[in-house]
Amino acid sequence: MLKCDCGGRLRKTVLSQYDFTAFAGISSTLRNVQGLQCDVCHGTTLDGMVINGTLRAMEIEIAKQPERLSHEHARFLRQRMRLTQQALAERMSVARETVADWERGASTISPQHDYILRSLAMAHLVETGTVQKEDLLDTMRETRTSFPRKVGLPILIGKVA
Amino acid sequence: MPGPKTPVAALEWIQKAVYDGRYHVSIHFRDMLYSRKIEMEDACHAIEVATVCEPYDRDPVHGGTCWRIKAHDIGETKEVWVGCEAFYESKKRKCMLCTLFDPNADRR
Repeated sequence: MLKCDCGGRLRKTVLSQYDFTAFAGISSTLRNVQGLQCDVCHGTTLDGMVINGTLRAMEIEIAKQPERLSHEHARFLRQRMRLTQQALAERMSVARETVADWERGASTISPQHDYILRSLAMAHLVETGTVQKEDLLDTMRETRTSFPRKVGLPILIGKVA
Repeated sequence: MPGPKTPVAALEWIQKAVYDGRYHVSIHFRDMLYSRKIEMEDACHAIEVATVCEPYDRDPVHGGTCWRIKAHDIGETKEVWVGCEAFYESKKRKCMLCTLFDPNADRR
């Protein structure tokens, strides 16, 4: 039987709500999750299998989400890939400061860089065996950037003419 | 059955347990994640890449052995020291992530 820091015993239970923010670094709450509760101090915690599984599930959901990556999500994906800001910047051919700006919300990630970052994340998920290669291809086919299509082309034509 | 007896064996034990999800997190450890502003990914990364593992004087509560693992966060900007107990549970090699040390205060 697992023991708590207070000397009590940690017993398996279903936690109706569990604040996962400390583990993910993103504001997140798990509902009806299998956890452990101390019979003395009533503190709650999670099993490593649940933590690892939840982080993997979050990585998949964020990589597949249709919306542009938020600063928290961009940081989360980089950390899941175990890349420093510098290493990610080199892979994406941008400056480290650009990555730092995305992550602290000083600038919004462009649709193109959003696409590249999520592609790298999906490739990481395939490499780690979390998702199948087919899933990666499906996701990348379905992914749309939010780049406004009407901007750019008329201006270019105007200049050529 | 006690836990690993040498730092090399302990590091391998803990690294594999964390990777496979055969670990638990103490309530104190979660509180330390908040107070030390360290994320779980950084703690796991520190365990993955660590080369320094040394015994630390904590009474094991699960019949195992206690170890302090020293490494750095993903961004390589700060040191992350994790205190763990490696032990057997149902004949499986497990570990409990007990605490996060403050490298400045705990440096000897």
